Amino acid sequence: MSYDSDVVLIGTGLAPLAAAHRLTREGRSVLLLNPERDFFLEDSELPLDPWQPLNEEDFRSNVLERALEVLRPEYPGALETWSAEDAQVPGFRDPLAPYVRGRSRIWTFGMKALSSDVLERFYVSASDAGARPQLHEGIAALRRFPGAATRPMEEGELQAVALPRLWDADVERYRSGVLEFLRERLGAERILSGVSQMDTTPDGVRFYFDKQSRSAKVAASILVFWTPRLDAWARAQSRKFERTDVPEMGYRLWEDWTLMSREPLELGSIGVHQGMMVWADFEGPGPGPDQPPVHRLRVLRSGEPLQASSTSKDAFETLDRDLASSDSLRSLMQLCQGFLRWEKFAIRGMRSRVLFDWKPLAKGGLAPAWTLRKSGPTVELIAGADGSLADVLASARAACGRIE
Amino acid sequence: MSAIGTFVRRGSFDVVVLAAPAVRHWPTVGVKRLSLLCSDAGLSVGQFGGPYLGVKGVVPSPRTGGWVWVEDAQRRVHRIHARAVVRMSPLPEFPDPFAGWRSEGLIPITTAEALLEKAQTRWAPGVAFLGTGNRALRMASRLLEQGIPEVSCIESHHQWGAKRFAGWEVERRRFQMLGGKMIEAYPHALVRRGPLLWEFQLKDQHGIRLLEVSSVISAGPFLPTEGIREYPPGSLLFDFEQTADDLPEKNIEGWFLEEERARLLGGKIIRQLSVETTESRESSERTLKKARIRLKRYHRHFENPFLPEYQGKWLSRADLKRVREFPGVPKTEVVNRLVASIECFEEIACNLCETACPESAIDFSREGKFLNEAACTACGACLPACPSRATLLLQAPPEAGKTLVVFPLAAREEPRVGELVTLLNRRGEGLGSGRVAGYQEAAEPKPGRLIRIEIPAHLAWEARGYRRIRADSEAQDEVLLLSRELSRDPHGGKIEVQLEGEKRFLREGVSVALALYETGRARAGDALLCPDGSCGLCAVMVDGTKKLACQTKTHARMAIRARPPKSSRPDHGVDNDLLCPCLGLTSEEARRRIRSGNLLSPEAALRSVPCGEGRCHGQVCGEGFRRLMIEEGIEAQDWIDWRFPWTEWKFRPGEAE
Repeated sequence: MSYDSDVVLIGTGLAPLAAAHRLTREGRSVLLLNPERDFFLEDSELPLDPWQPLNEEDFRSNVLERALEVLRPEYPGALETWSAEDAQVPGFRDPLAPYVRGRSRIWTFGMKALSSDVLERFYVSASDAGARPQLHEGIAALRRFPGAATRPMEEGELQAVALPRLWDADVERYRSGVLEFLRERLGAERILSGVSQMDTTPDGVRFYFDKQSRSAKVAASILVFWTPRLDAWARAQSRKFERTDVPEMGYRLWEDWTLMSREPLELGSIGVHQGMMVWADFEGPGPGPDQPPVHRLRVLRSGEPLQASSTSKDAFETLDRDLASSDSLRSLMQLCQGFLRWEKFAIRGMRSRVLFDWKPLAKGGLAPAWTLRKSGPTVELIAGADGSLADVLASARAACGRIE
Repeated sequence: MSAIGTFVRRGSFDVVVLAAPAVRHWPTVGVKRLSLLCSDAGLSVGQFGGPYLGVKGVVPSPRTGGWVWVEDAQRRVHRIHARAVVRMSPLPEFPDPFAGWRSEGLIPITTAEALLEKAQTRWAPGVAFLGTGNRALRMASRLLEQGIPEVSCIESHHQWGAKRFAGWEVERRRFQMLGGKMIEAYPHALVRRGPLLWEFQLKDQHGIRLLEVSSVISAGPFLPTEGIREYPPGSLLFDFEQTADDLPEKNIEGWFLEEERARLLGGKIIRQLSVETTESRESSERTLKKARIRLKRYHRHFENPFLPEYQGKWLSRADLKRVREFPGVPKTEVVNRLVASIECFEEIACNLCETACPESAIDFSREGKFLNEAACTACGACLPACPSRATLLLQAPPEAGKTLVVFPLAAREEPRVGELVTLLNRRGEGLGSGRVAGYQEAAEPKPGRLIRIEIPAHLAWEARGYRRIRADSEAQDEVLLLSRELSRDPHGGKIEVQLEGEKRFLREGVSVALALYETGRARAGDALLCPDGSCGLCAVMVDGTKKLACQTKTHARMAIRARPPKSSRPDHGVDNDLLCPCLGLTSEEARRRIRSGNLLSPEAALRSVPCGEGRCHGQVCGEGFRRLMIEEGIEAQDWIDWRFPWTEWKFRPGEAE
């Protein structure tokens, strides 16, 4: 069987799949190589953009309509949209489609935490962008925060900024849908998982698959979507091509907690409290009027950024130290009992993932990329293959656009 | 608000052995053996489990070992680092889902055993066991001995031989001798037909057949396993199947097996972690080698089980010859006097009769079981010691027309001396009549009542059980049960409670779940009867407060409302083929998701199928999901679900300050 292709895509998550989808539509032949046994084992895609602190640029890219411009073209089917208001309107909705939600996002601060200048500037720019930001103080700041207890609370020293219609998505459905479509479209022989001993050759790639060494000639380009799983390999390639400008990428541990409480949760907003993203967890169209309310609260908490220059031993130790640590529990207790005033809560689950901290290197909102080889089939190393769903898709789209 | 950072305590061990949810006994022999071995090798060992140390989960480390989260009785949290983690897990008890498997008609065997031992549950005729393992056969035999008619064991997996765990043939012979039936079929549906009456639909090569039962007891394991898994490979994170009970007599082969496996695992861990001197290395290698040899020996009968051939009701000549040549069967003294006959033909991990013999006449140290006839005094101590009733006393004079045999007394009623009884062969088929010659008491250390029966000489090597001759045995059973019911003080030891608004009498101080079983109102959620309440499925309202039925004791004047739990999905129903009842996920849906993603790894399957993310955290569906993944071609044989936490972990303000 010939694996020769126009483009070879190397990666573990949604980015190479999205790129493959786009390139096949352009009529190019592609080959996907995934060193892991399945796609999405790294779980590199976040269902929302955990941006903070408040800034205008991030706000503009996170508006629902803007996100849909990125999400819609890359999905080979219909996307459904959801907002708390739409949910009440009768009409057909595909319950199995990936849903992109427009929810308001509420940042909470201590009364003196943000200067009035920053708030004012942000307020004006958000209004200019068409949003209607709201500023709340005291108990009103908590009212629409997901999971805030309904019982009377003391007036707190709290203020909040609420921005309507920012996006978040059913990321599991989205990426499974893309994978399923591509498997059917390209066939299993063009999407190879469990590939090992990959290397670039002057005319393409060589790899080991299904107990055999194989090679593929590449006409145009080899795109490497750089995630932590591919870190060692990507660095080896940059050394091979003597590229010294590829920086050490910092990374960050993310803990994704699922909590249960007696309190019914507000579905229409996503809260941000002390760096934690907090939202009511549901898939698809959400509960109908006759169904029980949602009680599962998702909390996305990021660890401290880890130094890019860390040796792997240090990195392991840091991960060991940070993973589900006492700091994590302290933050959860503070959130649930100190802030939301829950009487009690239960931890239902915790997932962890390690993602690159590539945002500081981004230019014009786009993840950086490095061309490792310019002659013959080009080899491009692309950051931004992990992070929020929209960022991943935007990186993939940009990488496809650079192929000549 | 509690400041959690102040009460999270840190600790570190080389090896941590911990109890998975719903482990019944802690610590068992395997835990003790493993801990001893590792500590002897200079490793620090921590044991976490039991009622006062609740393990919340393990977070695997990026290297080897992991972090263990434990909550103590004062609700303080401990975060323990371990270089190697061993999780003791109970044997799986739930079958693969079928329509009705989560109804109150199906109960796991641990619950059934608890009901048999602790509760006054009246077992109605017609009990089906799903599974034909030793544990199932043993409990089925107990029910038959108590006079419950129509007990059957159903093989639910195509690997019939996989159940021959150790001494399986012995258990099967006993079960069949008592009148039990073995059926090879798959469960299809369980449909309620009335109070304590279920229609159990079974599917075999001929189609659907119906069995009317009062209950179905689910008794795994449903796949043969090695007992020790490591996942991910090389991570020093182990799952160890708990096969031992609290006492060796309850499950002797499980006891031995667990002990040997613990030696094997201990050797492996020591090899990895110990800073070895030549001496300690040799010692651990020796331990490993011995454990391997013993385990191999215990599994030998897999390859060559003793499956005697019958010609009609009689053993074939060749097999009869094999029986009489067996070294545990008497050959010389038996013609002159009573002497023991150890008719346990397989090499199994059991030495209870050897331990019980006060004269050391039984010897297991050499190949096979050996009986020193000259030393045997026919005290009968070995008879009640054998949980499978494979030993008896025998006197067979060559010229006499009669032979004397002595069995352990098994029936609820003693036949009169001189009464005729039906003699049974090793399969439970009637061979002829014998006469009760008297009774005797077995000697210490395990006393028990023995029955002496005179039998025709030609049945000396065939008759291995007896049954009373009754004109109308079922009617007598009913009369007996009725008389027992009447003789029981209707309110004796019971307290008055309000159950669903009605006045009821329940036993005092038992768990509400058990009390509900006794009143016939058990729900599917009560089936786990778990010792730690970790699944949270059996919630009831007690005096207006939500409490777990398995963890709440009955007391006078309490008000219980046992409504079915609310479901988060509209399709939640007991008659569905649900893989995960908590989330309303069917097996079909799970298969569809795995196939559509063409998934190859358990981790990917877990992301696609949210099995185990419901209330019970996979205690009901976890093993079924693993089996389903294996059927779908995913390599999940060694997979261990390390998701954190294992149970819902509740926090209340100020609890640990």
